[in-house]
Amino acid sequence: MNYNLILVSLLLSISLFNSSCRKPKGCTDVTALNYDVNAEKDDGTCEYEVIPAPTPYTLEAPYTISQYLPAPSIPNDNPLTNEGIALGRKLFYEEKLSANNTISCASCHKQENAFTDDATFSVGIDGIAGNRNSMPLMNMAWDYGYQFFWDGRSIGLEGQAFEPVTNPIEMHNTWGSAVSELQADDKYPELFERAFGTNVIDSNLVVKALAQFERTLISGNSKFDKYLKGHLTLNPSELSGYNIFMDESGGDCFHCHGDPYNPLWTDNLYHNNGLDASFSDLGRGAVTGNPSDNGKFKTPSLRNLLYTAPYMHDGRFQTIDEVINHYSIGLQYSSTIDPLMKNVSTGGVQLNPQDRADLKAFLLTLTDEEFVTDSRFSDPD
Amino acid sequence: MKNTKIIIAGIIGLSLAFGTTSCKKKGCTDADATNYDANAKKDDGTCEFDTITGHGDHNGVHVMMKMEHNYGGSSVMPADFDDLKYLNDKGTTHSITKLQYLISDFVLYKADGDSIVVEGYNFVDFDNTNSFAYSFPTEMHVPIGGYTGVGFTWGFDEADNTSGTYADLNVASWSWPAMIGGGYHFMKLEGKFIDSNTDTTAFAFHNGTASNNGNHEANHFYVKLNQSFTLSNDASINLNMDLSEWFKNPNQWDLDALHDMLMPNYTVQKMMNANGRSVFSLGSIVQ
Repeated sequence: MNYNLILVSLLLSISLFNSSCRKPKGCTDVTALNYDVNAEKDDGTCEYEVIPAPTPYTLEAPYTISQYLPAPSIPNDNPLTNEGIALGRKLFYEEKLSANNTISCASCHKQENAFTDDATFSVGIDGIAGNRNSMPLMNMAWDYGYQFFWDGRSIGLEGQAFEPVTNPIEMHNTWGSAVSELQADDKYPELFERAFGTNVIDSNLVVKALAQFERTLISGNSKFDKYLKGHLTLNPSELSGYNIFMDESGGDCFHCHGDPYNPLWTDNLYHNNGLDASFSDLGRGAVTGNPSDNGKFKTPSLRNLLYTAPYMHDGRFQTIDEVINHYSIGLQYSSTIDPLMKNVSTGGVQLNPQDRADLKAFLLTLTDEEFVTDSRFSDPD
Repeated sequence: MKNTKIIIAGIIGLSLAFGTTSCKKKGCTDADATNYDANAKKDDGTCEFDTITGHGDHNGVHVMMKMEHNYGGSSVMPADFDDLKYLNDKGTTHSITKLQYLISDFVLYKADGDSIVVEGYNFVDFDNTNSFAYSFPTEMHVPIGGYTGVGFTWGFDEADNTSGTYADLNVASWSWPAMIGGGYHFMKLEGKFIDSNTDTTAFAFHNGTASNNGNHEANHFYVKLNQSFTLSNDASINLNMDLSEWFKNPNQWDLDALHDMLMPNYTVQKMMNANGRSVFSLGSIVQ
């Protein structure tokens, strides 16, 4: 009993001795503003720079789009912010997303080509080419079908952005490796913090930022947009081409490629436009497993056609003239050919040379030069 | 769309008086309209209906229209698309690959002579089977009681058929070209058929404004389906579209001759208008 009392007293005196020793206390977190290099014990007084919440950004729809189309489709879990868009823009041009740091999104989606590739098939980091032409990127916030790629296999722009990073014939990276590189970068953690409130980077945040930037890629100031606004007139050849475009007995282009009230110039749906009698690429059919979808591909927009050559999902046509000739005399029958393809047995709508020239003149009025030179869309670094 | 409104007797009297002083040949040709003109041979879009909204009638019920589709009695669902399995009245085998259509301004005809008009439209699209159901606005309480029938407008009437007005239809590339009258498509019915050379050929049976060398003629029509029923509860009213009727009555359709470039063809557009009148029937009413 006595012995125990002595032990307790001893322990008491040790603890008293320790507390009176006064180990330096203070903020021990090196990332804090008031980090104390002498402090050995954290006293909970660390103060940090307060990162402001991201600033909401509202898409500015150009006249023709705001006039006639529903509000843009923005997912609730990825609202647009200035910081998110700026981060997405930097990531769009970021070669660290590829395994050997040689290519970025912009390598195959070049602004001067309305964010597609002028190569028939883009070449990945290992020098391997794909089997489909890169798609142009514009006005995607108004694509309500929300399916991307030529075959629509990805849901949403966020879903789309997951794929090229890991595709073995594209960036051939792993998300783990891509994210580690960004995390180790001296700028990205803070940019993610500013955009998403966390400096812990993950692939979900990367694709969210990319999607935010992509939603700002808006084209709405072509000559035809200005014509619809009443700011200029079209010349007789362009007007004639417009009529051919809109005439079911002429080119009948509008059923799939939009009209003045659908200024996206695409229906964003899938069609077999009579390219081949048999398919080496099943397109939509490979995604749905439905043979009725074989040979169908998503309608691309005609906006900025001048910049987006080569044409079709496989980039088989080098010029706009070749495209017009295809619909005029080159159609091939297959069981899933779209009923809107006319006179298939004679190859198509049989436009005469003057009609073809006029149609091309009209199509070129869909060129939006501002879009391909807009500094907001260029490499920020 | 216009708001549903109550038209009071004084205004009706006024418009009737005005109607009779103007040209006798044109006027309201709908026998159910309050200003029906028995002498009118051509509808001029002035029909007015005695309408009540039912707003605030808390004894009222909610009503939903449900579109069902058949081909000569056999049900047609999206899964039936693409197969060459339909035989039209002329004996031509064909498939359906696309069906979209527009109906607007539903009317419920009450036994006491009043009509309830629901201004609005339903864009039915086989790629979106949710569009088969069309609920009347939730704030709308339809009075319980006896009814004699259901009606609606095929497509848009002139007042509603204005280009660029409806964002959802614009983005669906549903516009009807200005050169043949503008406004919107009323229907896109597409498919393939076995032609007289036994080749498989496409058809695109698109309906909208009828245009004859720059003269544009409204091409909607009113459908009234007579059937007595009593509404006592929230109800789902089935409307049937028999697709075979588009190729049958009164104009037996020759797909070999009429399969594409039908939009700018005035005669063909009026033939579709005539055939469309027997396409619909009233199905079961579930409540």
